[in-house]
Amino acid sequence: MNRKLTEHEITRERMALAVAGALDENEERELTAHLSACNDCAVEFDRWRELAGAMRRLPTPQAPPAMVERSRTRMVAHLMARTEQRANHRAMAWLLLFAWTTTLATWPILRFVSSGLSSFLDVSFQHTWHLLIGYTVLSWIAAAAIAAVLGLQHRRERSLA
Amino acid sequence: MIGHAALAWEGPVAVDTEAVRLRRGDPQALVSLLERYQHRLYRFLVRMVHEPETAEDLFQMTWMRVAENCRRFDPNRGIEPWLFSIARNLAIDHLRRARPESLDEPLPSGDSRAEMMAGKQASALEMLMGEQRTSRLIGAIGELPSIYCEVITLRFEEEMKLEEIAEVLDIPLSTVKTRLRRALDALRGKLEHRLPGGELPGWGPQ
Repeated sequence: MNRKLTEHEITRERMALAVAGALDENEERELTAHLSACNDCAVEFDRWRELAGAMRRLPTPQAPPAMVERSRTRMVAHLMARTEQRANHRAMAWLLLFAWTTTLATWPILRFVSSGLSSFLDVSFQHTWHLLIGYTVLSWIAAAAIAAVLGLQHRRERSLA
Repeated sequence: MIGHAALAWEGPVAVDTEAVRLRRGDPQALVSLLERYQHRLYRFLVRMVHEPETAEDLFQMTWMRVAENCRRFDPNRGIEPWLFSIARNLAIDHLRRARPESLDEPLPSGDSRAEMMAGKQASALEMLMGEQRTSRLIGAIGELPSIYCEVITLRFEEEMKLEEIAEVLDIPLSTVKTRLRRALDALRGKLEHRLPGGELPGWGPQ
């Protein structure tokens, strides 16, 4: 008698999980076996199944189109801004690298062309550092001007797209 | 047969590609995600907060959060649990600010303050949904604490696997099962309490 009651209780406990598909194979088998032998529990389980079915058939509230459109616009704008920011950071890093490479690579050539081979080989010449600083500043001004032109061109292309 | 096999193969490949595009921050990938999940995500938020206006705000915040975090998306993770966990966290934050008691499990002995507010929530949802019987069920779900409400809607409306629910809620699988059982028991109790005679109505097909 006691054992029968326990089996009922266990079955009732498992019904909710059964309709949620959360029983393991063994529990499922035990439940099915009990339901086939116990009419009361079978009726009770039908109620659980009907409730689960009703929940699965609940109507879906439709997302208002205006809200979806607002979300889409804001999301895309945010993404574009982030993408542009990343592109700008990348371009700046490349520009820095390019400017330093150009400055350091062309400096010996400039020295060689302007003063001849003897001056180029003579490391004790006067004003070398002043010239190097001046040349670097000039190079960077040129690089900044190029960056500004490229940036404006990029912005114009984006506004046309 | 071959067609079926091809279709079965296409699914995961398409999702993988989308995940990679998502990580690149491709606006088109996010827009297609928005189009696909708009109603489901909105439904989930409505069920969580019970107020369409608040759900709308949270919906927009969710997609902004998606745009902010998409580059950190782990392609090994499912898109769906990721998306719903973002929405869920925002909803929980809102509920924590608005009415912290709604997050608690109810005491076995008595009603919570959330239940006192439930009449108002249920009537708002009833107006939205129309049908009386459906409204009664939605109302009863709305009366449940959020931790029960979310697990029920994810399982029965979103039809998520238990593992996916565990991922969304960031809890162990065993806890998902426990919550599901308690949530369904509580729902059944609410429905029986609302009806004269304590019997459930026929919930079968209409």
